[in-house]
Amino acid sequence: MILKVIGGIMILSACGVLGIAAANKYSLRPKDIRRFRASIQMLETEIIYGCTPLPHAFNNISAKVEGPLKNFYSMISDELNGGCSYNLDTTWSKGVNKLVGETFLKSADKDLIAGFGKVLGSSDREDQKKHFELFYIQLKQHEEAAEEERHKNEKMYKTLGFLSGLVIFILLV
Amino acid sequence: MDVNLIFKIAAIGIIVAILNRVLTQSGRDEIAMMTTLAGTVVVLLMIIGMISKLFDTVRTMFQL
Amino acid sequence: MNHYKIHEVLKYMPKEIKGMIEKMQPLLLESMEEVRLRQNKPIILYGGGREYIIDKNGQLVFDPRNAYACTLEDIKNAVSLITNFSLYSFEDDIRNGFVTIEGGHRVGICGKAVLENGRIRTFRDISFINYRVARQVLGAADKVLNHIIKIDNSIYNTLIISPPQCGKTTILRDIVRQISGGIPSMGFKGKKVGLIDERNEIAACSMGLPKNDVGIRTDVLDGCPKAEGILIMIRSMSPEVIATDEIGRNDDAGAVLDAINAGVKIITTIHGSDIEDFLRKPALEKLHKNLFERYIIMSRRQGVGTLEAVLDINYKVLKNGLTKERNL
Repeated sequence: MILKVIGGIMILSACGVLGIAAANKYSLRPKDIRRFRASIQMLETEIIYGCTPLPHAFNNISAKVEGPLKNFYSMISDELNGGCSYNLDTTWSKGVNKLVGETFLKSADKDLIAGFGKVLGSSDREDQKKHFELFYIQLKQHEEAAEEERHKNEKMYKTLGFLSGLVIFILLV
Repeated sequence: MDVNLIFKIAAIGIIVAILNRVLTQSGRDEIAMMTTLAGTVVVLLMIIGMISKLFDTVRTMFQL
Repeated sequence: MNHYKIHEVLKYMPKEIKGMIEKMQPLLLESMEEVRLRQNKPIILYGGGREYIIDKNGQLVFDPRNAYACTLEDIKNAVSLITNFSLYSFEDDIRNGFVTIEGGHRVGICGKAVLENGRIRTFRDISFINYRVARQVLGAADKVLNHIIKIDNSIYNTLIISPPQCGKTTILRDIVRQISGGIPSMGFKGKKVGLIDERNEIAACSMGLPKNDVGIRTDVLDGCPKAEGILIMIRSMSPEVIATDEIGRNDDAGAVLDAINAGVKIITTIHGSDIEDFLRKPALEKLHKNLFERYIIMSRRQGVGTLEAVLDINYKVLKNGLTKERNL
């Protein structure tokens, strides 16, 4: 009897966790986008108001964030400072590819962020400010799309997970 | 005739109903339909033995 | 002492081009004063009055057709490196046509001017770059110091008049260094010097620390506009001598006048080839008469740093002709 219960709990939790994992893809993406946007706001302050050169700016931001973003900014900063790169675009893209692998950002987000690397640091303050504003708008669009997807899918996958577990339990018992 | 079986069938019924609701709510109508279908098939499989026994019983009863 | 200077400059060139140049003969390489990159044109280096064209293996060639031609990619990467990937933080420098890189070297740039209300806002599509290697020469000022130093342990207000590329910044730097540090051989005790290093070339400060030796009694205002800098220096650091490079505008002249009236001695420079060039500048009119006590005229006639003449306060020639100079 107790074995049945243990078995049941195991099946239920296994399927439930699978469901949550699938749901996370949708529920955590908006959060990751928001965190990224916050870091970009810090970058804008450093650039527009501080006139800080990019390698220093990235270093400063890396100190203020956590997780994959921290590694993202510190990696780019190190590469630029180390003289092994003379093209911000390629270094930025490299970092973005890695970042997308470590977070819940999708490839659509990847393209958008990688595109920003092409204009970062390559024009004067006023121009940079305009690029930043455009980037914010685009990020917001992605965030809203992600929220919508989350709304549609998060609950569904979680429920699916638990209930499938229940069904299997019932069938086997 | 197993009370357990009745409970099982009931539980599956409820679960399928919930799944149906959740799936239609998130717009996946085709999957909802498939789930309902699957649920029905599963329940049928569970009681196919009993149904065949029922028919046998009826046949024997009427041949009597 | 200067052998590493060219390498400081090379760090700011795209890797491939840096590699090509480094393949040159070391002795030849270290005498280079300028490296010019032009889109779709060969790389040309200048040193000791001669020009050198190289191919992709770093070998000298005489036919430009065999040389390595810079691509647009090279130029873009060079600009990225020069501006530390941050064009926006060099806006003012680019507007003036050059960026000063670490070590005090000037990198001139040319491209399409972007105008706003008839004035230059910035440059785009940069396709011409000129790296100028700055050198510190200890002792460059030796030949002029005895004209600048006064008996009573003070100095004369001095104006150095020189065309570009004659070593005036090098000499100014050395004057500052020696006045600040003191000259035992002349019995001169060091004086407090305030240096306004508007283009970051004289002291070449990096993170607040001068890369060049400008003396132990020197305070440096890095990247500060001259007119304001002079006034700030007088108010806050009580200098005995103020040094700055290349005055030319009306407010520069006003600030210099204020300094002299405050009892501070001045050492500065202007672009020109003789005393008339100074007297012909209307913007500096208030400084024309009876303020500068020594005029030092320089040229390139016998190499960089040739001393042409020294004039006194009434423009009378004190010393003429050329002395034996060191190789700068």
